[in-house]
Amino acid sequence: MIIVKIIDYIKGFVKINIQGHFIERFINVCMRRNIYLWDIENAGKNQMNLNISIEGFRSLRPVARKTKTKVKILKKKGMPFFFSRYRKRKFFFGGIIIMLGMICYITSLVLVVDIKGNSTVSDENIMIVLENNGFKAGMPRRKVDVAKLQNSVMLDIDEVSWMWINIDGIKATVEVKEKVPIPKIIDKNSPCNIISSKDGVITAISATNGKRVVGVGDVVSKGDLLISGIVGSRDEGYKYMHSSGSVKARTWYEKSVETPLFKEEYSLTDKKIKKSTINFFGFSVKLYLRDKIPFEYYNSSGKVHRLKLFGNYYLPLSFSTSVYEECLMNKKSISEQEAFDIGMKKIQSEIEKEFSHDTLVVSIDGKYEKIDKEKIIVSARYECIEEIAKLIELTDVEENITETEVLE
Amino acid sequence: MSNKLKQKISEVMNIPDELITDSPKIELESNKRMWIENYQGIIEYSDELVRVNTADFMVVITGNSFTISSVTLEDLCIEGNIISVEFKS
Repeated sequence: MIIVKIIDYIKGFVKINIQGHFIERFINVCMRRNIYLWDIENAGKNQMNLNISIEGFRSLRPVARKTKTKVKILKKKGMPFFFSRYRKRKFFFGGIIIMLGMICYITSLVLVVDIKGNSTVSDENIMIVLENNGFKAGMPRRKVDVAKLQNSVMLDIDEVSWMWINIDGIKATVEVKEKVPIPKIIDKNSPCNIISSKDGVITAISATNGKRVVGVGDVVSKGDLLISGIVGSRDEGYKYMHSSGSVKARTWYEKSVETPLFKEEYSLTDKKIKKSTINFFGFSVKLYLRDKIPFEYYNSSGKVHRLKLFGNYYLPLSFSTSVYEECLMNKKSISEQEAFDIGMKKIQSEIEKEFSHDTLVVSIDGKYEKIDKEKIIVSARYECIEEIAKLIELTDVEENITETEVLE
Repeated sequence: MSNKLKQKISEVMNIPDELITDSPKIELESNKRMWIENYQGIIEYSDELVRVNTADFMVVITGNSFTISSVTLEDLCIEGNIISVEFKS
């Protein structure tokens, strides 16, 4: 039983040699006097070795005299002997205790602050606000009042809509969510026009409010007036309204890309090198001499190993290793058709970024042209149907009236 | 109380013998380890032979490389290669 052995070690015991004619009697007498013995071994004629506790050993003298045996100490084991050996080296133990205390103290501080999730507000800005409210690197973890900091940061920085601090060991991660700017909404009652948001040919137009200016089949370019919010004539007088309606138009997107007639393929070779760094309190020590990587093409992967105690208690010590694996680049030639497919895919992903939410692709027309042995140019034309109506407020009414008249 | 009465009580009340009477309880783990509860004393101890006295009889154990791994007032544990166990009155 390991637990019994550990307790024996903590309490300390002595291994002794017993010599005499009545060693059996010695055991019996010990038992009667409640002196506990264990691991009794025969050690030759009329001799035996056994373990005995320190207290037991102290009260052994009368037993030995009574049974006429000789007692010899073979070994002293356990913590009491270990400490008595170093009894004079007080500063050594003091040093160990001070060091443990310092490690505990240092690891209870927030040493690293990481700010995440901000794109418009700068890290410094958030940090200044946090510092003004009593949060800074090097403060004890338990003094961080996250709820209070959250309030003050959200009040002080308008762009921040939410903030939280996660403290993980010595590292505090400040997570920030920024406000999304409110889209400009045109008031339902203010007069406005509908203009075109893209170039195209109108396929359907319906005005629920306002006056249609263009008809089906008309070619419009971006910014053209489609539905006017000014109704009436000079004689009748003008009426301004909030025009509304839907305008569908056929639109075209064109794009061309250059596609090489080969594919780059990488294959790993056996060669690889490892570079390790030790990071201690923010100081990194390189464990390698040459910075240069002797490969033309390589894959690199890194791994950081942070030392931690009891789950989430990070120590300010980490090892990072980067592995660089050499690659060979092979140019594999591909057919024109394959290159064309690759090009078309590239075009598709680029064009889809320009689509609005309801764009419907009607047809795709792609072609390619061979330039030289190495590459082709792929060009594609997307024909789509989409909503192009865009509300625009009538700011200067007078100007719009003259424009309306010109149109008429 | 006489021994017989004690035995009767333990029989009737279904209590293990060794708790009431002085008779020993002997346990063997394979032929490697032997526990003797309620022993009265070690009469002889050597590498090849151990003699233990109990209230009812004497236990004679022969074998080799015997060690007494623990010994208290009530029980005794002998380890080694046990070849024979004999009860002598």
